[in-house]
Amino acid sequence: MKKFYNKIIFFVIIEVILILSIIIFYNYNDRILFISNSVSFNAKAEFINKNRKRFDDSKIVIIGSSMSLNNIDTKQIQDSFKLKTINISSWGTKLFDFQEFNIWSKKIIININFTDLGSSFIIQKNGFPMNNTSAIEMMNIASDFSTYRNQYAEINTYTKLGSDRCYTNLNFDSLGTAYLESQKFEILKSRWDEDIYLKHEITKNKVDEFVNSLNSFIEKVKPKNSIIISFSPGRRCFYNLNKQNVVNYLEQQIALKSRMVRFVNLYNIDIPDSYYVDNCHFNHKGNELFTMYLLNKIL
Amino acid sequence: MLFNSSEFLFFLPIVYVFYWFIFSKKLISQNFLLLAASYFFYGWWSLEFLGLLAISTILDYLYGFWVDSENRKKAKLFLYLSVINNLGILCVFKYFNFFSSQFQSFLSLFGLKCNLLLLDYALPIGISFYTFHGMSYVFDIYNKKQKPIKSLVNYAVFVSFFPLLVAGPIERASHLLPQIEKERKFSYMQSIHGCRLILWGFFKKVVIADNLSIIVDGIFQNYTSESAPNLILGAIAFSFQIYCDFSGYSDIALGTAKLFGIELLSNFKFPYFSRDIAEFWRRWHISLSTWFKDYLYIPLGGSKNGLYKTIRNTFIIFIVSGFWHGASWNFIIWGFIHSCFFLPILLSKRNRKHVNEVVAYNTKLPSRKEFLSMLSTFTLVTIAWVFFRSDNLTTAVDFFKKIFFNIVLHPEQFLNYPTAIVSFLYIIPLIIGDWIIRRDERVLKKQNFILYVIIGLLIWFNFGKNTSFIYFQF
Repeated sequence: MKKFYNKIIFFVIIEVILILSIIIFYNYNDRILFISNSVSFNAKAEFINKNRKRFDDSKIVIIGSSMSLNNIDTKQIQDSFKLKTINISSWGTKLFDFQEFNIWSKKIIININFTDLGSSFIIQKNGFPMNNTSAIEMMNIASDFSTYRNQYAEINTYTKLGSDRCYTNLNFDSLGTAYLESQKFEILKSRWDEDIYLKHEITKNKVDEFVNSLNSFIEKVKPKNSIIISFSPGRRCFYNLNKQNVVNYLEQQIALKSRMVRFVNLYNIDIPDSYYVDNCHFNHKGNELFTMYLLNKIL
Repeated sequence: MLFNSSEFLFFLPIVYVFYWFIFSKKLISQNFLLLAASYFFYGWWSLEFLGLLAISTILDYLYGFWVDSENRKKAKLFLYLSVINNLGILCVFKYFNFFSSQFQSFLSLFGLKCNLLLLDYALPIGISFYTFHGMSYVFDIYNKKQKPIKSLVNYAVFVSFFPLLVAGPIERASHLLPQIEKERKFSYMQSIHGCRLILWGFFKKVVIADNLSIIVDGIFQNYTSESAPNLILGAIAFSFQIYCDFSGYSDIALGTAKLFGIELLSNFKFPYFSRDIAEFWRRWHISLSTWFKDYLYIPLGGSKNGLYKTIRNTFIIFIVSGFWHGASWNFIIWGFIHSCFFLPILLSKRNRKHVNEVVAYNTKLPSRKEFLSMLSTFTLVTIAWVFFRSDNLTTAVDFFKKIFFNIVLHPEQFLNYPTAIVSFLYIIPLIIGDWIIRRDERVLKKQNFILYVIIGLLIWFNFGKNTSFIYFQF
């Protein structure tokens, strides 16, 4: 039995040494931050890490998915409120994903659309962007190397022109916004003609899941602050009464929760197709126009 | 808990240490530990279905005594009750929604509408395996091949032994129970071989099957926009994915059992080196094939009661086998297709042509005839796998239509580089490895330490909870 244990222990030691060596070499040569299984979330975490002071000093924080990242002009918000603002939203990120961020002493703005209802798909690893250390990061990589390794493939896929999502980079401007023009986003017929509402099968449950995520926010946000939730429009040809009813139901549910939360229904506003790059994302011009609409309502 | 989860990496060494160091003095305490570990292993996934496993185990344990009666009428009655009980569990938890929806569809043909109940819970993992364990035990007692065992703990270990609980192999009472009832001694060679099998199984599952699944899923989900070469390669890749997934799991089960001094039945013997469909079924999921042969095909009369019954029994065994895999028409059609492939061989009495030796037993490479027969068997099996993999029957038919029309209308596609060709990066090492060990799996034992270190590294770097990624929702 002793011979067996010696052999197994020797095997494990050799494996551990080799695994650690490979991880250190890999991480040293070509590092990407690894805090979740979502490459876009990680990219934003990297941005926050690099802009910690701005994050700490900001009085307004914009959270959410591409609806906040691409459709809201953070600079306009900052200039209008005359308060330091940062946009920490990233593609596909839902309300639930921001629970661990220390944003409770700030005014929170989130812009959503139908895809943002429902629960989150992002699995956060040990340590979130505010206190991620090299040791924690190494642990993340060692415990889930295949996810980490595939982040490279994902970055290459999604930043390649001609793929379904045509960015050339995962970078943000100094306040955290990503204007689709600066990422050379191509207008694709499939995304232009696609009705995201139908694709994501919005049900009452998904609205309820979103509202449930809101509960923990309401408990944590400091009383003098507020949460502003705006509902982004899509191209007018996709508008219908059924969707309007979902938005109304969401508004009702949010209204029942707390006076701290304000729902700004912008689903109905008529923005011409020339302001869109696909079914629901704006170009730079659209981003500025939509933010103007939003500011008119909240200021 | 699944073998390819990080929890299992902690679970196995802990149980192992307890088994050989703390509970090693008494057999009963070792069996208690195995039972507790097995229930913990299962309960990790679902506590509520743990009760179902326990109830099923206790009932079959009791049926074992009742079926042992000298009064054959009474024995037969309890045998039927046992079958009804086990199949009843399967029907409720695995097939209820299928039957319910089929009944609704049937009524709708006559313009009748009704909203029948659909059960809203996950399929209990391993249900098809542990109910078959229980049934084989009762059948063997009825057929006087096995005596009922007194110890409920030992019987419960036989049904729920954690290496085989989730995905088999489907053990026979006459093979496994004597090992559970006998004192087990540590064997260096058995343990080392167990570790090697575990590594090899993880390699097949985590490195080959999980990587192939990314290619296969991509092709099957977007089959309407894929080229014909990609569709063909996708089907081939799935053949190897399912083989590595399942046989990898079986290897881990066999290796884990060896660590506890228990030998399980071998479930796969290089099925893709088969020279005809009959040989394929002697090499693929052996424990299930032999189960159906012994407890369904032979009791129905096998091939000894005339042509009509032979054909009928062949179709029954394959279709039931397909249905065992899942409650869906595509599995039934998969079984039906295999019966159509098998029947000509059976009727021409060539079904036992390759019973003993593996292909090219005395040579390094197969002859041209052997190669062509292996290739044709693999092609037939791959065609059937498309039905197995597709979401429904329409998708499978569309998949073949797409290949056919693409070949006819756009033959130039074959000049382009098919992206799915990358799957051969995984397939070729597997074929070479299997070919080397096809004559004698003990060759695995002779491989050197460095090879296993490399395999270990490959497993580690491919090991992860999420093989699929969050894509940008934009």
